[in-house]
Amino acid sequence: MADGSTCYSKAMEILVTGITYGILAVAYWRGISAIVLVCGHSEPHYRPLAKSRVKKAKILLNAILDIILFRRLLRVNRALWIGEWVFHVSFALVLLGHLRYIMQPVPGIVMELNCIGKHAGYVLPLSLLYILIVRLVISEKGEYFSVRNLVLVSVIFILGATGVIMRYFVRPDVIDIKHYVLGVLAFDPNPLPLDPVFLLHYILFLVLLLFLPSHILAAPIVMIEARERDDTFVPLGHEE
Amino acid sequence: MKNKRSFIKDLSKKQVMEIKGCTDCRECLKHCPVQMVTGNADISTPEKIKIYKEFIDSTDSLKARIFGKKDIDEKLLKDFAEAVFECTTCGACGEICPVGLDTQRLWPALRREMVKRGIGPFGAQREMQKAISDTGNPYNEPAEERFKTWFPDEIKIAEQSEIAYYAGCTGAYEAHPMVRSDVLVLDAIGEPFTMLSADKEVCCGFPLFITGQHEMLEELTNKLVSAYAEKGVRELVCSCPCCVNIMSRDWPIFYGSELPFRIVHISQYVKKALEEGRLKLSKGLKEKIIYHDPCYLSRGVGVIEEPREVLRHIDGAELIEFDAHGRNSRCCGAGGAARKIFHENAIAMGRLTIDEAVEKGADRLVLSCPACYAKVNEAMKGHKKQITIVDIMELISECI
Repeated sequence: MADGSTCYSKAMEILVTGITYGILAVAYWRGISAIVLVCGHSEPHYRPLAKSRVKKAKILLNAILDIILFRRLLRVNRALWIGEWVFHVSFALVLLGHLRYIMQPVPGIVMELNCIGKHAGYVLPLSLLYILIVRLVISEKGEYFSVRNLVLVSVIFILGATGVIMRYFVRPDVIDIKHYVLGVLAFDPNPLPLDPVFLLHYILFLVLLLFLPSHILAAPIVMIEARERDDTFVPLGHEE
Repeated sequence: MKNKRSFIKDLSKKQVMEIKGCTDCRECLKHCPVQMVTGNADISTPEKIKIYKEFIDSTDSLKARIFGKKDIDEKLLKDFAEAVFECTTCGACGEICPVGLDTQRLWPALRREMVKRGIGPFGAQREMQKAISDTGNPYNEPAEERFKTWFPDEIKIAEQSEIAYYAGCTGAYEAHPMVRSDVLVLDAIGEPFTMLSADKEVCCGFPLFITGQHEMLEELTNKLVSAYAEKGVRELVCSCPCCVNIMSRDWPIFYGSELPFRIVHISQYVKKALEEGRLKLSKGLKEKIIYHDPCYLSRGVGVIEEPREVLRHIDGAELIEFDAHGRNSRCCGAGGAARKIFHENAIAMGRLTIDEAVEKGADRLVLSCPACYAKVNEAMKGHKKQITIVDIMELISECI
């Protein structure tokens, strides 16, 4: 029978393999989508592959900036853009900060990320409040904010708020939590800490995983496609 | 109803990604013309995409593959099909999409998926395939009447020429002043041009493509391309944006290779003639004119500047713009063959265009699409705000 650390390293291997496979699969899809047909046919007017390397590099750079800076959203709704951008960045930083709970030993960089994540933890619920205000009060009509989105935003807001509460007000035993999380990752569960705030935080995290929007993985790929489409679009009659 | 056929099999991977990539941000609702006139968020882009995601999850997800595919609720499927056919496929949602969904191409693909399942097309759209097969046009009008009522007697058509003019079904049967003016302007340019005979100039396939009925597309394309090739055509001029769109984007696919001629929108051809001095405008206009961009011309193939440059050649005319213009133009209601079933929506959208043109103080509303021309004229009937509607070539022919 393998011990906990072996299980943990095996689980990590599976995770890393899975992510690598995912990236390769996406790369394969991108290759296909470059030639794949719209409605089952190829589309000559759509020129996915720029000929020169400089052009390709420019498209890629633009696509990366689109993804990182949400430039398409900036173009259509500036008020919402700032909230969404701050939310996504702070959420990513908070997640990175949580790496310390699934790694043993904890690398120095993760400790530094944890420190940044601590500050991002404040910003996260505030950015969500801002998004709610922009959506429901300032920006256009409230009905344009779907119930689905409202629930998702609420779940993340409570997640963020409970995180801040645990850090500054009710301090559950971090050692117990880490012990539990490492056990789960190694398929060798340890007792679940019963601190009520942690339990709420943890349950909401599981709920979030259940309802994790598919756009998190797909939207960046679509953004690359869209940038490629925009940058290689040749108006009728303007072909070389 | 048991309907477990894959929902992604006939979509490209890119389109599947697009469906998965919608963030449900709902920015598109503010720009959707159907939303503007119905206010029904249940038929909006994010709702349709959400439902389609459910279909995919039921038949193609990992869960479905392991535990078995789920039956799709028949009513949900029908509601989805109706929603996707109520859309004008104008692509405004995709243009402003913060993720960048290419919806002008996605909706026809999803319509096709519904048609394959036997749900849709609806109403008059169902008759189009048979009508085209019988008469060569989706309006089921006699082929011999195609040019009869509008073609100017004095104009002579060359038997063979490098330039050809394709009138298109909507122009030939529903927007006579427009196609008549096209021919008058082409004649004034002075370069010989040819046309197919009324029985040979059949539908370009766009109405079938846009309603998901693809069976006849190869046949129609081959028929037209071969006929023009026989006449030695090197440049095919057309004024209908829908025809121009399918000819330039999809005909090479259905034909199986590059076309033996270029596709040109008439505004591009006339602009060149004006610049080269082959066409001269002798009369001016002391008018404020407003130009409406057809969705399939601007967002579809990027012809935005040429019609404006043509209009700027008219001495004294002041060209003004709609708030949403160019790639962001708002559909006039005629798009996607939705006007054939959702008539009230189309009229209401047409009236939005009329209202804005009147509010901006335009003397004339300039269009460059036969479907827009027919529908906006229809929307004008009985409407409290009135404006003179004119096709871009009609205006040019006035100034020659």
